[in-house]
Amino acid sequence: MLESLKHIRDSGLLELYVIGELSPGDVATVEAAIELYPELKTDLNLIEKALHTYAEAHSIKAPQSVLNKVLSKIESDKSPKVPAKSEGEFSGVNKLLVFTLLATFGTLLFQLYDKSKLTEKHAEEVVESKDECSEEKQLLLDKLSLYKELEKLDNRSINVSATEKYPQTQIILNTNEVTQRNILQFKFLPPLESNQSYQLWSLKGDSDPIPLNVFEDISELLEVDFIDGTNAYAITIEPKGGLESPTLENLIGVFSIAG
Amino acid sequence: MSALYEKYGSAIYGVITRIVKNRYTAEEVLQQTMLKAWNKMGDYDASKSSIYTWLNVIARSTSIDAVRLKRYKVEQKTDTLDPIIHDSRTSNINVSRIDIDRLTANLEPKYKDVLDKLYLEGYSQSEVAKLLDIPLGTVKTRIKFAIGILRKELENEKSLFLGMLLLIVLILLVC
Repeated sequence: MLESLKHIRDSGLLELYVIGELSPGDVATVEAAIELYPELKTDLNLIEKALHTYAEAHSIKAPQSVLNKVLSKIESDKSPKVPAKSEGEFSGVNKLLVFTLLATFGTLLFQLYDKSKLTEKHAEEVVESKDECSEEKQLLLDKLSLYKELEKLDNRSINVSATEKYPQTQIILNTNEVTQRNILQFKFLPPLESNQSYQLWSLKGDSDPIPLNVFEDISELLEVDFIDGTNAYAITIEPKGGLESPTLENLIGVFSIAG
Repeated sequence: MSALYEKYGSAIYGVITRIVKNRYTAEEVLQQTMLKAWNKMGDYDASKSSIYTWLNVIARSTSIDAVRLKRYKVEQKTDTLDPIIHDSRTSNINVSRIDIDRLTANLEPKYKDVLDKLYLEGYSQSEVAKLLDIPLGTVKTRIKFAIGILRKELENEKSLFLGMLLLIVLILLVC
């Protein structure tokens, strides 16, 4: 250890280290040696002091103008440096890059939002379609059920007896005493005014007509009320929403059950 | 920065001027040195060297770069230096606190030559060896010896200063 310490001291490396005349490898050697042998730091300080003194003995008064330039440069680098640096960093290619990235990000965000909106809209449409399909399906099932009902052997199909006022009327009443279901099958009915509806009535002996279904849609089949003991069913045109008593002058036709 | 410049600027400027041998280039290099130091202040490690040594290393490398840049030739270094460097009594020179003659009184010319060329004029060890026609090992030996003498002179000066101070105190006490 002492030999190594002596070797470093005798080699002249410390002197050359202070002068700045060592290779990077030698600099590393000296710094490692100083770390290993702290007493070398004292040697180093004395060498530094001797050379500093020698340099001071040969000093030349440093011009004030140089200091002014240095201070001016530091000041100019300090104040405008931040914006200048910032401007420099974000100018040219960088600025374009940032703009492009922002634009791309914005576009992606918009597309994502748009897609999300579209997806949301599509989802709503799907739900609506699904609902509509369900409704359609139910309607079809109902119609299918009605048609199946029409095929039953115990059904009675009764043609309407049209009145003189509406002679072209063609409607079939399919009635079933067992199932107690009535199904109207429309062929032709006189058109309605916008403030009118069709209304079905149950006629029993001497009793007043019993108001039954009120409807406007006559596109296909329609299940209507079955009233046990009914002698005949009648259809009239009534004010929209129907009435409690039929308007006889607007009687379209009658389905005779009893006879 | 002003304090740094005030304390070390002149010693550094003396070294720079001797290396570049041109006042205007020297001013330029001094400016670059101080700016480099300012910008690299965070790199300074007090455990490795004094601030002056650190500054001097920056000044030395900046000066050598300037010399290379301006295509100064090695031969130019043997030319007569700017008179201001040698004439310590001109107004441009600091009135040094150090008596250079006394400091170098015991420094033989062969040691002083090596010290000046290596430390003050920016030559490399091999350049000094070539210029003085001596082996590289001798350069190392001489520079070590030269600095050793300076250290000894400084110790003597210190002892002399303390001795004088003690004498003055004694005289004051007797009176």
